[in-house]
Amino acid sequence: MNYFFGLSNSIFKSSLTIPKFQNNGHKNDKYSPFEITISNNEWLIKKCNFIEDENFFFLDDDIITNENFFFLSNNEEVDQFNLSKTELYRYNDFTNTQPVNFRSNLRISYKNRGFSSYQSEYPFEMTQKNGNVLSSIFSLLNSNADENYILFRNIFKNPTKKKFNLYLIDIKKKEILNSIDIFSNSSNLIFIDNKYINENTYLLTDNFIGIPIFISLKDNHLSMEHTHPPHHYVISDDKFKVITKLKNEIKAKIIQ
Amino acid sequence: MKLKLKSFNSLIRNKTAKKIRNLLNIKPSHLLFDYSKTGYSVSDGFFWRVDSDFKTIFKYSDILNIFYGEKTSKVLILIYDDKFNLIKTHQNNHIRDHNSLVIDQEFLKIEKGFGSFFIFHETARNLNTNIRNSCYTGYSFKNSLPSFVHGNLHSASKSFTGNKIEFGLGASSVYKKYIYQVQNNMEFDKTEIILINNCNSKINIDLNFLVTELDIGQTKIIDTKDNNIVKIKSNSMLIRPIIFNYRNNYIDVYHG
Repeated sequence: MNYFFGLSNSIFKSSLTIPKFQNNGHKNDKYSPFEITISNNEWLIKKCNFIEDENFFFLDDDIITNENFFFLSNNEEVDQFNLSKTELYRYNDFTNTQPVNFRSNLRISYKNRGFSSYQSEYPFEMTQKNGNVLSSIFSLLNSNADENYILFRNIFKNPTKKKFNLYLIDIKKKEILNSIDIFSNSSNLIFIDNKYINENTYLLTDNFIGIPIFISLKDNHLSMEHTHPPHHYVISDDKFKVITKLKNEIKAKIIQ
Repeated sequence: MKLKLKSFNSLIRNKTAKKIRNLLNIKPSHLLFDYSKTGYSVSDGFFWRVDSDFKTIFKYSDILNIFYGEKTSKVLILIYDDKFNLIKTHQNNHIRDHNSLVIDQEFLKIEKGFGSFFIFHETARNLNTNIRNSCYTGYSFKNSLPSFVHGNLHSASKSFTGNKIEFGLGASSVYKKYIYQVQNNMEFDKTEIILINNCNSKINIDLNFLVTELDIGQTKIIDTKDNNIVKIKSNSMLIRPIIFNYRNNYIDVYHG
């Protein structure tokens, strides 16, 4: 099961287009978007406001906050799982699709001019895990751009908003270049000074995983894309061993 | 027992077994890469386009050095036109951790064209692993900030040490049609769908009732006209497009 998220801020407008169909064309007319937010240390789930047509639900920045996220379901399923409000549940399997995940389109736009999007989802399995994200910032940020940002989204199973660190590190020198406070269960938009954009700079998170999304802005044009997790590049059976070793070596030297 | 299980897993993951599984529709696999062998570099099928408006920027990493400390690795990039004729070979023997290649009129010595390209990592060392290059391609429209998209389709493989390239890692069916419906609403001035045939045979395409064929390795750009839905029927088991959306002078490129 997948969740869908956006971001809310004064620079970019964001919108979500959630399809009513799987990518094999199979449709489910019984589902509509529900919104999840944290309220008094519990998950608060409610049917959200949306515009729809025959094929899509449209959620705009009136509905999207940095804390809420969305999933497709119906009242019966939500009531069934709503007994404990301190865990996230796998409400249904409609968004479990293979080989390509069920995705919404997350789009950002700038002053009604440039726009950029990617097919996005936050898999339920990711909400169950702690860990670290390690990713180059050089591949997708642009030192020639006017402004660069990292959008880091975490959704964690428990209804808490906890502070954790996102480090910009020099992977060669194994040094922290900058430490930024970000929050779990949030879309965190981080301005990145162009001085950090070089091939040795990576982002590393401490304790929480999430999706790192990279945004560049120049002359009103936008580019937004996420990086792959490291295990995407190693496709043999040793991939988790190799990635864990690499991360542990870096963590041992950087995060004491 | 553990050894027997490992041997069984290798057996059902080799190319012949996958073809039999696909023929009998038993746990079909859209990817025909033979996981029972190691020492291979797998490339996604990347799209390039060059004309007076477009240039293509490819950002790629030294995967063998980053994950395996292989300091002497090289890359081979093969660029094909839309009919799958090899038009340029680019060898980088002095690869950095992160690299950028600009594919434009000057680099290709052409006025206009589009097609696919593939990247293979090479090393003389006998590494018992397989890697996948699924890095990032940006498209600059009228000299604007490039809109980046990651690779999304396993397409070809080559051993780290050998010269033989195996194209056609995508699986197709002789009797079955598969549907891939892009999970976004195409309400733009113009939408182009980019298709690369990553299968080892000619494939049939029905995109919103526009019927066409793609031979091995061929690339097509299809204008969706006024359709806001993109529904592709094909005997390719996974025909996953790249999408160009245009509004005024702005573009957004992403994978479907």
